Amino acid sequence: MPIDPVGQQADGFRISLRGTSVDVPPGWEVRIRQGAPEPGEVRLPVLHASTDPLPAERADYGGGVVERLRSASVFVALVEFGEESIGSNLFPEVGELPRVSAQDFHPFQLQRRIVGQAGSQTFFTFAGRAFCLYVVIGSFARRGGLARKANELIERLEIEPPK
Amino acid sequence: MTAVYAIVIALSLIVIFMAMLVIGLLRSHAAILRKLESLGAGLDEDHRGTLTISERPPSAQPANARSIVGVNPDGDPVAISPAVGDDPVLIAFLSTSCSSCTVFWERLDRAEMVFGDRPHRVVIATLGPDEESPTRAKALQRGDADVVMSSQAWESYEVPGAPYFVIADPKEGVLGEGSAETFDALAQFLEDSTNDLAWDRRRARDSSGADREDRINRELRQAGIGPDDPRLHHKPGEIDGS
Repeated sequence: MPIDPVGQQADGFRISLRGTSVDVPPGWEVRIRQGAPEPGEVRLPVLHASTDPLPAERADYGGGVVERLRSASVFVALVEFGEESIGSNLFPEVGELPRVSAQDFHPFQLQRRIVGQAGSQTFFTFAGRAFCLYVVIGSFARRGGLARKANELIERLEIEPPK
Repeated sequence: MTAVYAIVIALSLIVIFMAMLVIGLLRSHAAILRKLESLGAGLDEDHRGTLTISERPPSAQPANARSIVGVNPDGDPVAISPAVGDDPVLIAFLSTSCSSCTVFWERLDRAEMVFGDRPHRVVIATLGPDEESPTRAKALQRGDADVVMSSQAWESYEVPGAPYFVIADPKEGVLGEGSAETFDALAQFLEDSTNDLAWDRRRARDSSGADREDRINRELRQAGIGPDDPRLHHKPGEIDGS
């Protein structure tokens, strides 16, 4: 059981798990999953956030959520990768967490094509940890506003170095 | 003879004492019943098994639907907002130890359930893992029911005890709340809440139509145009372009 996974801020709530934290913005749902690892297995946190309801059962890249994503909604997944990925070519070091812009979104970036939707994938290493930031928007046509909405959440993410 | 009188007097005293004892017990019983009644747990047959709606606040107060922030029975952090999505959210405040919660643990076995022809999102909220057993909560969880362990939610919704239910609409906020003894009573309450919301919206629409009519009449009067004013009753061809 993580120690103090939930804390109350003056203007909202902060949830965290193993060095991945977020101040939950109003109108968003957030879940960080690790689950109970099998003996000898290392499970890394997966953070999911959405402006639509997040079901308890979800795949890492939004299966179970994106199928029902409304056109004005956003889904964000921050998936951590293992030590072998840290600093590799696919996961370049960055000085700050990457934001998304309208130009980053394309229907071909989706893990699973859904008509009208678009996605963005960014792989990076930050604070000595490797991540994929995967964002799905409900409408490619509204990608400008939805990218700004996604950044509302991304700007509140905090990643600590491994202990 | 004296002995007989003594026995009669003694028996009379005993009867008087017993009568006073019974009256005292009845008074105490009545006081307990009155207290239970005031807490919404009276024995009136008409109210047995029904849900007491403590408040149905006016619409346009989505802030009433507060987030539920805690951990699931596996210990993973969760922040759920009743203000997202389209469907109403039933928040069932249950305890892992209360016997009257058992039926709700059994029946609330899906994260989405239909009540009154409308899908509802269902979230079961227990006290946090410091006050409830996560393994017990996991054992009681049925199907894909969404269970969040959150003492914060109990505090923010001022839950008096389990079982307790809050129904919230993403746009309208909290529609009602209260306790139920049976699943049927809960289902009826949810159906009523949905119907009441539709009624509220219909009334708001009707009222805005009446307001608009009043405003037009007032502005016409201020402009010196009465109901019989000929300018309001044109014949075809009297207005350019008609």
